[in-house]
Amino acid sequence: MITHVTKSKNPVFRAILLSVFLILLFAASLLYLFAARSPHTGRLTARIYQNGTLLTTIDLSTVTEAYSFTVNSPDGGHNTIEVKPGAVGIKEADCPDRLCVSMGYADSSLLPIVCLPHGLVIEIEEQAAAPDTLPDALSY
Amino acid sequence: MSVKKLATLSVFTVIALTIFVAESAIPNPVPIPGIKLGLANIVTLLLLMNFTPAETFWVLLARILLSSVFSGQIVTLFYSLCGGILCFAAMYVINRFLCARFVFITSIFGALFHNIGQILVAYATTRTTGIFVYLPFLTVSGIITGLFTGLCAYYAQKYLMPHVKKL
Repeated sequence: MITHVTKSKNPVFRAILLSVFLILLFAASLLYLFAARSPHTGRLTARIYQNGTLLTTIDLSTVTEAYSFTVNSPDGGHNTIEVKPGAVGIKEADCPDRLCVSMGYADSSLLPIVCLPHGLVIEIEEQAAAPDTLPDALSY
Repeated sequence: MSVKKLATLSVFTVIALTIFVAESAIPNPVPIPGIKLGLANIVTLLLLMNFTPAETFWVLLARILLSSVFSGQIVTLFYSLCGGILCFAAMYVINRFLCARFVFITSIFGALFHNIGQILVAYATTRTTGIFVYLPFLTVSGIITGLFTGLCAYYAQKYLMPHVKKL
């Protein structure tokens, strides 16, 4: 039944080479994930996109009281977004897997909240805080 | 294509579909879209090792189309189609360079390219570059799950395929 036999000159060497590449890739990704876990200091701005168009921008530092609103998608679905002071998340949705709800609340720019079935993306942007903490002339 | 081969390939398609349905019953421990075990890839790996690439590709295509029927979501079809085809292409190329012992490496590359394909579709639908932030997460998970499915395929090849060949 074997019809497709692969032959190579030095398969062990190739396997080691590919393994080393994969280990490096794994290490690099892990390092990136730990490095990206920056402490959230500056002002947080949430941007809500639906199928690539910006719906609203919310300045999370001005939010004092939690509120929620519903975004309807063109194909009939809906997502209820809750905005809390310093965090934003999807409270309720009618997408098949509800992965967007279980992603919880985002309070940093590390990972955007997405609802792929509805094409909804909530990105958080961190601005580098107040002007007095900006680098001065000596830094340049 | 002989009737026997057609029947064998159909059985493999059914196995892949069964694995897919069983896997979709497992709740996702990590709330990140795109992270999954991908156990159905075991069948693709086995076919790649024992049948021609064309036969493997048709079984894969049948499995993807039927699994989107079973899961009842037409949206996921594009994700699994793009991911599946990229995964197959990567595994076909890598498999040519390696012998059957190192099937886990082939599997990892398949998982990585499956994730890349899905993220490309996600970018095409959402048109948001922020979606690429998921790539390091999916790389880490792809290497782990790819290693697991690869080892499954390795042991299936070692202990299961001799019996299949006897049929």
